[in-house]
Amino acid sequence: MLINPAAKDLKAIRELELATGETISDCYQCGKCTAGCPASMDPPPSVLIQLLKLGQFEMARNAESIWSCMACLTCSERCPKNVSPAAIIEGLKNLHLRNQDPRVCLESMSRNFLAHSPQMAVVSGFRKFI
Amino acid sequence: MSEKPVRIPYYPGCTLKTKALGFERSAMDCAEVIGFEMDELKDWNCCGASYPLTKDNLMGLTAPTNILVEAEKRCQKEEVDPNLITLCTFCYNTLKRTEYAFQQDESKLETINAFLDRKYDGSIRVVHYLEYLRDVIGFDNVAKMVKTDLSKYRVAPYYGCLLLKPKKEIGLDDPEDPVILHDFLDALGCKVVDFPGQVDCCGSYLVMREPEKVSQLSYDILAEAAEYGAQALVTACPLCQSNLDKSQSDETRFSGLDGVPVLYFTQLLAIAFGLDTENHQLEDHFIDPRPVFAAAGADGESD
Amino acid sequence: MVGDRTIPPPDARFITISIMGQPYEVPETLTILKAMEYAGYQFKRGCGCRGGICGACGTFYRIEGDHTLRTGLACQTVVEPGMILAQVPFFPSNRAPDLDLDTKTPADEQIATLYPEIFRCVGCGTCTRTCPMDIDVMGYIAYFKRGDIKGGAEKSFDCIMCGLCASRCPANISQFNVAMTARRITGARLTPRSEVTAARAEQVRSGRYEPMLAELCEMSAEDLKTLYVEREREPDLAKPGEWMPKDQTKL
Repeated sequence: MLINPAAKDLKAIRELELATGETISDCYQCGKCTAGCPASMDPPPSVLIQLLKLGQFEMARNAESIWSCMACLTCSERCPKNVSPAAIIEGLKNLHLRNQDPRVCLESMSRNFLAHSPQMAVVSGFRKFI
Repeated sequence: MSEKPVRIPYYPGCTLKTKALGFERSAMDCAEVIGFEMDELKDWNCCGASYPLTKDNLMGLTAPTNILVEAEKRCQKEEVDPNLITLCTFCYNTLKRTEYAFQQDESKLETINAFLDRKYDGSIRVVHYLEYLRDVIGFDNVAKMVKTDLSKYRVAPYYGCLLLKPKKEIGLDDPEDPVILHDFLDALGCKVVDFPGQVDCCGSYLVMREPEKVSQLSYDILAEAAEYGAQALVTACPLCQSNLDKSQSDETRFSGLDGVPVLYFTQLLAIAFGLDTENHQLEDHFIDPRPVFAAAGADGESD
Repeated sequence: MVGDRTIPPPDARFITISIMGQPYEVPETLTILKAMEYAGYQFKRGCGCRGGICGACGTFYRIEGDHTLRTGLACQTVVEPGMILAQVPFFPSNRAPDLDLDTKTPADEQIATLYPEIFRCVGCGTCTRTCPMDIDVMGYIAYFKRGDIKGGAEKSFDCIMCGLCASRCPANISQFNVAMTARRITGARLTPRSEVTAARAEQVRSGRYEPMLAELCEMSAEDLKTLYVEREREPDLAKPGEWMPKDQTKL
């Protein structure tokens, strides 16, 4: 049950659920995701989900911490309600990436990084940040 | 043991052809000893290195499907079992999750087939090299082929994330308490160093934007492994290898820790088999593993 | 205006095509280019060799009733009933500046730093499906991603730089520019030097042919004609290296 969200936030959250395939209201805030997350996020995964449950869609969407997710999937593996905070976070990131708001600029990337990193880092990084 | 080696279609991925060439070469040399051949697909593209986490993103399935179609064509033409062997964990993870997705949802497969204008039947089973050793060859048989005495070496298995997660879709081993690399090292005769950080994330692609965080995560893993007595780590992931190895160039952060070499599991397997490791690019690692394993013949000269 | 106007034969059949959203009746045997000129359009841009090799006349079109977006070269593609045309004489592309062909940087690292966007390729294959020259564009980008610059360069060889692939790429890659850069690097650093050409160039530089050229310049037009007509020619089917001219002083 979502807690008193405004109509537009309700719509945004429902759309996020449809896009990600996740049911945000299933979360009962046990905190296992945050406990296992290596990314030192602030707000951490369980708090991001709580923000969404409270209808604070913009706060979740604009949190800088979502960009620190490394898709290690510890959160999704450990969630007792089969919620994937990683998927929700990727959904939030996509809202930026699909609206011309990337986090990496190709033209100012370190040439050293491009020349010497394993391709998998460059390819997956571009998928997550552009 | 049959005379002709078993040929298995093989998908290398971009990284294994360039930055992790030693991983591929050591894997192929060891395969020869074990009795199978990794038969590279003729036409392949990058797998995308990233399985989409949101259900609405089907574009992330296009690249893996192209690869699976090629593999299926090859297996049908040569009338061999529809297996595709991989080494790189990112490729393994992306391809395996695609395999699972198509099994669960045929409409997804239909959509991708229609978009790509190709006809993938969903027959390919993605297999990891370690999985092949464990389930087809058997670690006890691998142990019989070991020529070098590695009993004095304390080696820690480092699993990383994508080799094991999500368990439901990958199914290789338990993500919280895995044993496959432990059993592998056991078969090689090493002293296996079990340490809690073996399933902690190295930071992955975050190295693109937050290298400091990757450096810290790598330090935590390496320092703990060293604390538990490890002389070296083995891994299956070129990105883990890169992050853990290269981060040790941060002299300030790593000042209290002697260099801990991070090898690909096949590089250690080659040493165990007593093979010539000259082409396995051991010297390209930032922390050169050869001094640690010199007595085991890692400097290129066999015992 | 006098020009190269198509005069259709009396029994020519006419079909309706759409140019810039307007219907026109054109003879069914014409290429898109000639059909548009028949309809009265004059090509200032988007027309070049008329021979399918310069890449100026890239065209997107649909057939009415069919959702598929198709491509072709206007000078090579014959019109069909219901064709809806859009010409693309120019498409903005990304071209990396500062190409250093003499660098010691390995080719794969050079491409990765000049065009990092290739790592955004999602393998959708839209470019390959778009290419009017049937090049496996996604394939050659895949080669570049895994460091095989020479292989990708060779795979891209038929490219006529029409730009249609770049126009459709969801990852915003300008594939044809990446391929051109790769071909230049391959030619400069990844293919063996032609010893024979170098030797010949040295011969020329050494001034060996100067006296002969001077002699020719002094000759009258009559003598030049006679010399040309009476020259010794290697027979067409002679085996290589077997035939030699009688006068070998100039060799």
